[in-house]
Amino acid sequence: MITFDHVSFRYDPDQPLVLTDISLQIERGDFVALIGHNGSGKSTLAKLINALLIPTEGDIHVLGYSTKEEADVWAIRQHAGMIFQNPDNQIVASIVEEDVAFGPENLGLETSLIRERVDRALDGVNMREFVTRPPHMLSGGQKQRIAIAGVLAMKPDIIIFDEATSMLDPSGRQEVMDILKELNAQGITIVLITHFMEEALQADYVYVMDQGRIALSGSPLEIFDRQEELTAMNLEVPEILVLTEYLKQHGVPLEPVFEQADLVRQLCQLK
Amino acid sequence: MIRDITIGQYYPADSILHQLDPRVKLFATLVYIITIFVASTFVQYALITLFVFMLIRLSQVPFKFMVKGIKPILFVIIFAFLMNIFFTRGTPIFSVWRISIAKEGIEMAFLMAARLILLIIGTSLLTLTSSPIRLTDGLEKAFSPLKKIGFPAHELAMMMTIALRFIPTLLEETDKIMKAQQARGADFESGNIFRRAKSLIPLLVPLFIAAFKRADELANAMEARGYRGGEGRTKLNPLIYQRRDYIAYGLILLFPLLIFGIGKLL
Repeated sequence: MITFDHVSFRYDPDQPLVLTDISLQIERGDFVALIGHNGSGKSTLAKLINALLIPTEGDIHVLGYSTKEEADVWAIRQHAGMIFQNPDNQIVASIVEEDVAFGPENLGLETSLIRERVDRALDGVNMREFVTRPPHMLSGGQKQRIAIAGVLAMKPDIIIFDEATSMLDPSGRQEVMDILKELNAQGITIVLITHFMEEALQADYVYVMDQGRIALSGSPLEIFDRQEELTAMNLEVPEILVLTEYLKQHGVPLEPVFEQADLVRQLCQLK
Repeated sequence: MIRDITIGQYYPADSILHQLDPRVKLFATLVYIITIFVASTFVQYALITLFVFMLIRLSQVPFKFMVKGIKPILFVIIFAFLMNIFFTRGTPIFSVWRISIAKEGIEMAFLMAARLILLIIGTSLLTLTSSPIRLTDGLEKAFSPLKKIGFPAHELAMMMTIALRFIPTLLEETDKIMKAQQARGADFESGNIFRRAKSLIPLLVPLFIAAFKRADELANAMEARGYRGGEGRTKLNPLIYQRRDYIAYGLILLFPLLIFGIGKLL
């Protein structure tokens, strides 16, 4: 679905590489998380996927289209939607429905079809009742849901969340994560770029970025088992994992867990 | 609160004027302005006034919203009024020392004031009864024939849409920066006009930097959502003329004929 083939990228010819020799493959229906501290190149990688940036070296293919092919750029952007960090800076219109319609309008769809897509997209994020509201009156989580609806209205196969929860409060973050998982269950490929480790735990596969390279990759279990390496890369290991690890080292037999409830259950069942 | 500021002055209601196509209202405003400037007798102005009052009733917008529009230019009206009284030559009816007031001057002054007031009230009906979105759509459509000679109708409309979208966001940001700077001891309220202007610098610099950053991110977001100019774009709520719009066009064309026709008869 998405393939990176030895991709390197720099913003300016006389600047150092931001990404170095990245190769990865994301399959249809995957839920992939990309983590890394600030400046590790993870947001640059996101922008490469839907051709907002073009690789300096190597090739990227999205659904078989090369991002270097100018004629295919619009097809890629239709199939690979993107949610950005700041909810305010991605809403174009001053009425919710007009904003959700922005993508389909760009596709040149019939009016009746646009209406249908807007309604369905707003249902998909549970924001139907806000149809005629001005976006600046909404909360951060709600704005981000509108942005998701705007992408959904394009009927994408892939949605890239570029630190989409980093400016939200905990409840807003939860709203977005719930929708994200629901969309993944519906078969949409999710690429989640984040620096919240708790969010990465929920993915099927995790890439850890450090200094423009993929430092580690694997299932969340495999990744978070390597606590020392993560700490060396300035990444915070989720507390629940630190605690389990500590207990294990002190002779408490525990299976690795991500959820507090699971940990409690295991502890209660100890003999 | 700075948040409560309404954009434009749209007054939501469900009147026939609200339902009309914005292009019709734009055309009506144009005809109305021309009529006002051509009209020259008291009878004609009386007719126009009568007509405007009928429209206000039709629009369901409370009259005080019209008066609101006049307030900011009250000074201009008074100034024009006085200038006309004192500086129009003609048969003097009153003179003190070297100042004389002519009969024509008084007439002219009243006509001028009436003209300005009618102009404001009539044109504010346009913005009071059309939402900013419909108005921009109307402008885009109305100017789209000029695209052939390179007039950027779509681009201008898109700029207006984005401006409308970001006015509340930037106001909120201004509020936030102001409070942040005040918390560090900045003073925006005291001193003479120069000092106050200077004290705005710590407000404007961060505001502008943030606005440029926003613009950059918005451009990215728009491109990511497949925006590539007005070519081939469709609309969620396209403007389509209804029967009432054609009737309105007819009535609008009748309006100057009526004003000048009756004006002549009387």
